[in-house]
Amino acid sequence: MKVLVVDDSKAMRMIIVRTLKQAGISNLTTFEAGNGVEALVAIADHKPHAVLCDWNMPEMKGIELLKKLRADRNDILFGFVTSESSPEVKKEALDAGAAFFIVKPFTPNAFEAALTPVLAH
Amino acid sequence: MFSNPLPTLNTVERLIHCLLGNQVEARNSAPGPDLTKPHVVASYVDDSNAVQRVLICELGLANSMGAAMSMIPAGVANDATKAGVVAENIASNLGEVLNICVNLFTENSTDRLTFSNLKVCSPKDPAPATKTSVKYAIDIPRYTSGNLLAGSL
Repeated sequence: MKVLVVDDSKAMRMIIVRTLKQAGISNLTTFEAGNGVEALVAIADHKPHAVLCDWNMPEMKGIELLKKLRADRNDILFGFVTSESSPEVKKEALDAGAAFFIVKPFTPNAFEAALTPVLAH
Repeated sequence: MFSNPLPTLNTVERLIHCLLGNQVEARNSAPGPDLTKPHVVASYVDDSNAVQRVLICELGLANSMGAAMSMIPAGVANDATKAGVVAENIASNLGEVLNICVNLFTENSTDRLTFSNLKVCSPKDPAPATKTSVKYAIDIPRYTSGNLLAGSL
């Protein structure tokens, strides 16, 4: 399974990748991007099965990336991994087409549950 | 007015375990941060930009938390602490830790808080006038331990 991790914090990307491995995701291959603009390039290059994306980032925020993907008719599995936790932000994410919304700090179980739809295919 | 209670020890432990690993220990601590030495103050604001919550962290612990997040050697953190600063390569990690720490305050709440900034303060700087506070001691294996205070304004 190919997963793109998008977060402006290199350390947080490292923690997310580590947690994905702890979640036991089989055949895991990860790619990383530091913002939405870099993510668009990475999605075109690597065609990941899923995107795990931060909310607040420079250049292009996570919600802008998601809206751009959906406007381009890209239905890739997309979820947020963010310190934002308000109901309004979560609703905006889900309304825009996010499949899941994981609040930092997170556990391996949260990733396992979120990625189960892809693992089932 | 943001009314959510200050975080419990369990909430603090759960967060730091996720960020820094299960070996990290948190416990309630009577003395709290030593404000006669340099320390870090992180501010959390509501939607009207009013500071509602603060975290006050001893500088040694701040450098340790930032360093431990991406396994920067403890020596780098200790050198920065001796110099009275947050190391340049630790600062972004520390910012991420403190950003995520907003969820210490918003657990089970629908009100929104946002991490505003962090400031390295000297003993001469006035301490935030907290109405209530909870104090914790944090032990990070192989790094300098220290005290943390969560306060409401």
